[in-house]
Amino acid sequence: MIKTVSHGLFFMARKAINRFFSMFSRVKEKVIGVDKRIVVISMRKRSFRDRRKRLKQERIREQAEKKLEQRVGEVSVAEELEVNINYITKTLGDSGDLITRCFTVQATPDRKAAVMYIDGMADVRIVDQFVLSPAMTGIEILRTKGNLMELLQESFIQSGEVKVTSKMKQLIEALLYGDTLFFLDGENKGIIVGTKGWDQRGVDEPKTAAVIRGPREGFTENLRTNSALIRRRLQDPDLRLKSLTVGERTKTHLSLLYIEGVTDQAVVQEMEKRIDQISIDGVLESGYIEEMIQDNMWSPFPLIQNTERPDAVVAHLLEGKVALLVDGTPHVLIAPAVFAQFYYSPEDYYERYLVSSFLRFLRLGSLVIALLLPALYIAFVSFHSEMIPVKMAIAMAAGRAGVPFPSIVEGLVMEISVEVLREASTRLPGPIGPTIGIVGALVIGEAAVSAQLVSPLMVIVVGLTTISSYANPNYNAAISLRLLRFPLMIAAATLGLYGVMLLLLLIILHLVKLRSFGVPYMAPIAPLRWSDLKDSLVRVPWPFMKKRPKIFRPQDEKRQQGGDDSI
Amino acid sequence: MQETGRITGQQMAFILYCVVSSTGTLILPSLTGALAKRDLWISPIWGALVGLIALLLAFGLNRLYPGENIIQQAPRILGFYLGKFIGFFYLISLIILAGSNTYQYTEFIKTVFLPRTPEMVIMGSIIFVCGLAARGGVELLGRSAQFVTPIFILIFTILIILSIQAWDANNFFPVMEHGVLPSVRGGITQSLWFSELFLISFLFPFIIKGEKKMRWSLLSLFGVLLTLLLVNMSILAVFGIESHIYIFAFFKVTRYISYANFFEHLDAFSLATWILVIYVKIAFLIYITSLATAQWLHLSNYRPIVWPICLLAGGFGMWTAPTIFKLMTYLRSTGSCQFIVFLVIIPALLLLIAFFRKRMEVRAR
Repeated sequence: MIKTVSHGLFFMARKAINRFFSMFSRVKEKVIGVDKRIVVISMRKRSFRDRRKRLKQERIREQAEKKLEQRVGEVSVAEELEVNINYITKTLGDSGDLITRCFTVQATPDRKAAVMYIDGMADVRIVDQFVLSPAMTGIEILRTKGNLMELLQESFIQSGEVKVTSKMKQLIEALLYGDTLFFLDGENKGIIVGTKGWDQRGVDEPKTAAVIRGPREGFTENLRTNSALIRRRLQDPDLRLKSLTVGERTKTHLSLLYIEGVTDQAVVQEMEKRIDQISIDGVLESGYIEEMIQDNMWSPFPLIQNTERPDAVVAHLLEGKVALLVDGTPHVLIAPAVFAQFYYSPEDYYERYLVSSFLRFLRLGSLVIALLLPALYIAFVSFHSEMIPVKMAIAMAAGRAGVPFPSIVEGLVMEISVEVLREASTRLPGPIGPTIGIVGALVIGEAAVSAQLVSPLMVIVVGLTTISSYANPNYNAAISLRLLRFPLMIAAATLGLYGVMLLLLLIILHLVKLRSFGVPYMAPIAPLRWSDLKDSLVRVPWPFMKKRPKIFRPQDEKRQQGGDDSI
Repeated sequence: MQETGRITGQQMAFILYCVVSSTGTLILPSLTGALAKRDLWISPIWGALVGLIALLLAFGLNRLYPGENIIQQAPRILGFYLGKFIGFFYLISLIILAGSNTYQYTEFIKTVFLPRTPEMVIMGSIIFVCGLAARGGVELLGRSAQFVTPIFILIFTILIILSIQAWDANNFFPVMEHGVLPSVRGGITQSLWFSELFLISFLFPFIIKGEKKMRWSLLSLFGVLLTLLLVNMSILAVFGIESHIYIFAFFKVTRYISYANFFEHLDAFSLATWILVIYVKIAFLIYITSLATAQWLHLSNYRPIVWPICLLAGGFGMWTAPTIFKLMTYLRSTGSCQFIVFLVIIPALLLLIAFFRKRMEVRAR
C-alpha cells in the first residue's frame, strides 16, 4: 500500500518537474553527429524565429512570382509578328537598349521576320553575320517548299545554341541574358539564338592570395569563363556542373561543381537544399549566398572558404568538396571548410614540403600573435609585471614612464588607429595610397612616441600584430581574428592573463562546437584524425599523401596508386 | 533523449586524463608530500593500483548492465528505493567533488595571480564557462579535451625538462627510509584522485560502439600515472623533504626555472595551460552531475538543470572549506574516506551484489 502510494507520488513529482523544465527548454531537433563515422549531415537548426523568417521569405517569393505572372504569365507567342514585338517592347518599357530589326525573308517575300536583342548584351557581330545575314540572303538560293521555321532552325541560323519555344516568359528571360530572339510572321513560336557576348574583364592575375610559384590565372566576373577555367584544369568526365538560379530580380546564375564519385553526395544534397531555401531579390556577390547557407550565422569565423584561384578550386574539388560559382563575381565559394584550411595557401602544395611546412608554422605563429599579443602585453604590464624578466621589465617601465594612459587605453587607441589607417588605404584611390602610409607612420609611430602619448613598446606590439594578421593568406579569416583581438584586450584589462585564458577558452569552445556542412570545424585536431594530420600543421611530401582527407568523407579515398595499405 | 552526442575512445581517454591530472598536479603533491616525505614519488604507483581497481569496477558494472551508468544501475541492482538512495548519495558526492575542485581552482588563481580579486568573480567566471560547455554536451567536452590536452602535455613536458637544472638527485635518497608505510599513506591520498577514474561509468553509454574502451582507459591511466610520477619527482628533486610546505608545489617548481637570465618566470605558461585542463575537469563534473540528476529524477532533458547545478557547485565550493588549509585537512581525513567509499567501495559492493543476482537469475532459469 505504502509502496504504491509513494511510487505514484514519485512519478507525479517527476512528471511535474519534467513539465516545469520543458517550459524553459526549447525542444530542438538535433541530429546525431558522430565524430568517427558520420552518416548524417547536421541540419541547420531551425528555431521558431527561423520558421517565421522562412514563412516571410515564402510570402515575398510568392509576391514576386505573382508580379511576374501578372506581367508575363503564361502568355504564349502570337502568330502575328507585330503583336509579339509590341508585347516585348511594352514589357521592357520601351527600353532604349532593346534593338528590333524587322526584315523580309527573301525566299518568300510575303513573310516578315524580326530579330530582337539587347544592345551590349548580345554580340552584334554574331547577330549580323550568323543570324541576320543567312536569313536575309541565304534562303534565296534554296527554293524548296519546306517548313521555313524548321529550315531556319536547322540550317540557316549558324549558331550552336538554338532553342525553339512558344513561352513568352522563357523568351524574355533569354533576351535579358544576352540571347537574340528570332520571330517569324505566321508562326506562334520564337527562336532563341545564343549570342551572349558582353564586354568583360579578361582573365587576370588574382588580387588576393598571391603566390610566388603557381598559376597566375584568376577568376573573372563571368560564370562561364570561370567554369571553363576549372574544366581546363580538371578534364574529368565525372566533373558535375549543376546550374541554379537565385534572386527574384537579378536572376543570378550559380553553378554547383563537384566530382561524382569523390564528393560525398550528402554534402551536395544539403548544399542544393540550402540554396533552394534562399529567397532574395538580388545576389550581387557570393557573400550573399555564403551568409545565407552557412551553418552558424553568428560565428565570427568563416564557415565557407572563398578563393579567386582556379587551381585552388580544383585542389579542393579533388579533396571531395563542393565549389559554388556565382555569376558576376570572381570569388568562388568552397564548402565544407575547416579552420585549418584558412591558413593554407595554394602555394603550400607547389613549393617544396619543408618550405611549406615551415611557412605553415610561421602562419600559425603569426595567427597566435595577431590574436593574443596586444592582450598579453596589457595583461603583463597591468597585472603580472612580476612575471616579466627583470631587465625587460625595467626597459618596459622606462618606456612607459611618461605615458599618461593605462595600457588598455593606449592599446585600444593604437589598434583602432591602425585599423583606420588600413581601412583608409584600402578605400583610397591608388595614387594617394602611399600618402596615408607616410602620414600614418609619421604621426602614429614617431610623433605619438616622442610626445609620450604611447610607449615605444606599444608601437612595436601594434606593428607586429598588424603585420602578423596580414601573414594570413585568407583575408576573411584574418579579419575575424582581428575583431576578436578587441574583446581579448578588454578581458586582459579586467582580469589579466586569467581573463585572456577564459575568453580563449570560450573561443575554443565555440570553435569546437562549430560544423560546416556536417564536418567538425576543428577537424583533424578535434576530433583527431591521425591520417589527416599529414596535411595540417605540416605538409608531408606528396608521395606520402596517398589518400584524400577523411574528414570530408570522400566516396573514393584513394588518390595515388598503392594507397591501400598505408595509413 | 538525454544526450545524442557520441565520443570516441580516444576522446574518453583525454577527458579522463584531464579529470585526474589537472587538479592532481595542483595541491595533491603537497598533500602527499606531508605523508610520504621522501617517498613522494612512489605514492602515485600505489594510487594507480586503486585507479586500476576503480576502472575495473566500472568495466565490470558496465559488462553486467551495458549502456547505463551507476545512477541507472543502482536501482536495478538494489531495487527501487535503495537504488535511488544510493543514487542520491552519488549526486551529493558528485556535487561536493565539483565544488571542491572549483574551490581548489579558485584558491589557486587567487593565491597566485589575482590576490585582490573577489573569489566570486573567479569562481563565477569559470563556472559560467563550464556551464556553457556542459550544456554543449558530451561531444563538445570530448573535443575540447582533445584540443586542450596535447597543449597541456607539451607545455608540462617542456617545463619538467627545463626544471632539471634545479634538480638535486640526493633528494631521492634514501629510498623507503621508513619502510613502505609512508609511501602507502601518500598513496591513499593519491588514490583519492585516481579513484575518480571510476567516473568513466558516466561516459560508457556515449562511446561509439566498437571502440577499444579498455585499451584507451588503460592508456589514460598510464598517462596519468606518468604525469603524476614526473611531477612528484620533479617536486621532490627540487624541494626535497620540504616539498609539502608549498601548497601549489609544482607551480613553485616552474618558478625556479631560469635560463640565460631571460627564460624565467615561466609560471605564466603553466597557469595558462592549467586553466585549460581544469576547465575540462570542472565542466565534466558539472556535466555528469546534471546528467545524473536528470536521470535520477527521470527528466527528459538534462540541459535546463545545468545552470542550477552550476549554482550549487559554486555554493558547495564556498561551503566545503573556509580556507585552502581547511580543505587540505578535509581531504586528508573525512574527504579521503568519503571519496573512497563513493568511488570504490560502493561500486565494489554493487558489483558483488549484481554478480550474485545475475547468477541467481541464471540458476532460477
